[in-house]
Amino acid sequence: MRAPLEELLPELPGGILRGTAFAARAMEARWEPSGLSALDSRIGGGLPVGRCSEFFGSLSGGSTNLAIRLMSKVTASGRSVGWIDPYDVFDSGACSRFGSYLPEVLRVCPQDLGQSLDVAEILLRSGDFPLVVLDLQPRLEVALQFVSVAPLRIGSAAGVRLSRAAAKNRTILLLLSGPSARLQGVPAAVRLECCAPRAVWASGLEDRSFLRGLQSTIKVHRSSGGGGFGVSVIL
Amino acid sequence: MPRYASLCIRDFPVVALRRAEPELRGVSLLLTRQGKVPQPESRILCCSAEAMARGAATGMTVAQAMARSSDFLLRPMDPEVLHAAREAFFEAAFTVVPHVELPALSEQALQAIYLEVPEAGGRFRTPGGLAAALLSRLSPGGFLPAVGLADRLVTAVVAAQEASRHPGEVVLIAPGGDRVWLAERPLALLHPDPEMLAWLESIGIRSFGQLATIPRDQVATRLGGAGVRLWEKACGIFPQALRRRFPKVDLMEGVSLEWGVDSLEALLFVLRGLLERLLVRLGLRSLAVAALRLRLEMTDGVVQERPLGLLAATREPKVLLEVLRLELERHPPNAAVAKVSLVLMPEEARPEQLDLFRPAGPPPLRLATTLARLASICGEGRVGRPLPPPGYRPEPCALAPFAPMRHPETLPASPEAREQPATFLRLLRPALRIEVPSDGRAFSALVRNGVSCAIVRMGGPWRIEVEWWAENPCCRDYYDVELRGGGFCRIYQDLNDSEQRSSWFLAGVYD
Repeated sequence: MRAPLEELLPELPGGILRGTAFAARAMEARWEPSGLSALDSRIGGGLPVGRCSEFFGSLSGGSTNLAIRLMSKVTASGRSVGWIDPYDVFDSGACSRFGSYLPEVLRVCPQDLGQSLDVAEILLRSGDFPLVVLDLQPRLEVALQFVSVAPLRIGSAAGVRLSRAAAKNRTILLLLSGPSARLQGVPAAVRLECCAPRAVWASGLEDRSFLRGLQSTIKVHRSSGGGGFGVSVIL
Repeated sequence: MPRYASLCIRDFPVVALRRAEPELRGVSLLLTRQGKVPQPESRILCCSAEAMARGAATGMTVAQAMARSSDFLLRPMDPEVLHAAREAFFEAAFTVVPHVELPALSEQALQAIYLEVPEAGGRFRTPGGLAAALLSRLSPGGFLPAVGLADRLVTAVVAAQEASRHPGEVVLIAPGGDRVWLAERPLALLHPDPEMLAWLESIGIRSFGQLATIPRDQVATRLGGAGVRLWEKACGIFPQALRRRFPKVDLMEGVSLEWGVDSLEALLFVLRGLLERLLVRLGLRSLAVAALRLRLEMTDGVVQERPLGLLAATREPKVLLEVLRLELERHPPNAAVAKVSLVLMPEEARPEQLDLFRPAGPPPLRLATTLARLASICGEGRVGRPLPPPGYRPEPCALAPFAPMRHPETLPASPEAREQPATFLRLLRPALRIEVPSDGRAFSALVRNGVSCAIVRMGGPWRIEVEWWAENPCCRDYYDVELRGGGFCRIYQDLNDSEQRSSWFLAGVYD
């Protein structure tokens, strides 16, 4: 009886572990891979679970791209993601074409920063969403300086509250900021700056070109693998 | 052979009022006719045991009672509170035995419930087990009835009424012992017509057994129809079969306020009480709240009915109270509120089938609570699962109810595929109208409000032409644009919009 079972074990999905509950807990994931192996190898495996992380950078730097890759990675393993989208910019069509599993994505559209922080705290405290993305990048008309709006700031008290909720429930809080970092008073475990984007153009019918991707430089300001270096990736 | 049970609560209006206002426990209460401010000549319809101990009695005038003690609290009977308490009493009993009749409240302020137990003890091992189950279900709602259990309904009713002076007492009549037990009880227990009772006592008939020995025809000749009905009860014959009833689907609790409430916090305090009582009733049915209906009656006579939807069924009082708070903050009442009632539309909590090889998702009720809290903060239509656009127009991003579906066959693309380059737009909804000046050979910049962003390179166009048959067709030429300074945008020219000053729009930015 034992021998056939031993033969069957390798065929079981990788998530099934043998051993005691304590052993399984010790093997709980401590990092969530970002979806780009080149980047993961430089930041110590991915974004740390139960901590706050922040992506910021210039216009078209690729921080949204990175966040969607991470979201796709999490949802593909059957876990839910909370995406807080106060500016109503989420591109569900592109996510669907990319292969993101949208049934596992909860999109919330608060109406201001205060609501966004409340929503983030509720999602973090629920413990049902291993990844919560708070998208606070400014709207495009602000980024292009068509409209002038004072930048939003997250106070240190709110930051500490969110950080504690993330740690208690082993949830990743990913903040998408604008041109500069915004999470004040809370040391983000990983802080990436996406900058100097270059276009990867491709030719289509009748020599009409279209944007195929972006080559971006990701500067690692802080991570478990250290900081102060950059990595160039094609997003 | 079915057996019958009867639950009886004495001074039920007092119990109902204390259920709504627990702080009145231990207070000497006098209840007068509903809807009127108590006057000295008002009759007392019901009084608490504490008031009786001080000399008050049902049927006295307020002045007579106050002459005995001035330490009484006078309250008019509130029909909303009484109705809600009757329903709650009935629903709690219904959860134990489904064959239940709820008779009208008697003039003696006795509220009874009749139950038919299919077999001796039913699904409970002993009759005592049934009584204990009934009491355990009823006590969280603030009810402690006396219980009578017998072979015949009349016997059970008489037993419960006799024991009702001692709340929580259980009287079990052994099988086959009805006739002997009933024969010794006084006729006054069934509250017959006082004149008839006095006449019967004058000829020496005081107990059920004595009345049952008289032939039916003679009773009919001397006492008429009322006498025959009393005789039948004395013989253990109930006038009609059990009129079975089912609980109403919607649950309602209400209260008439002594003074008009004009502050939000005070109104929420009242609503919290209503909500807590409703949730106790809902918990007995193992259901969750799918929607609410708030009814406010103002002091100026205006009545407002406010239906409130929930994103997902929940049983969390904080969430429901938050929904009510937000509604009242958004649309405050125009005048002070004199009467409040709250109706809950129940729904089964969502079940979930777990998968052996996938991570267990959040418990459905907890997830529903989270969703309801989010919806109460952000408003309707702002929380849900994003749906891909139904056609080729990229703008719409509808939200569907969030309900994770963890089926292995619907797994997305492989990890290798996700490492490939892909572009994502941060969309502008609605698209921003801009100007794109041209020098005759190429477009030079994006301009809005006098601010210009120079174009370095432009790719495209690709035409999208959809819904040409519709009233609002879509025909656009899309371009990818690289801006000086490093931004990459998608713009389009609306070919159906040539009448406008500019037919160019900024659709979004690549990021």
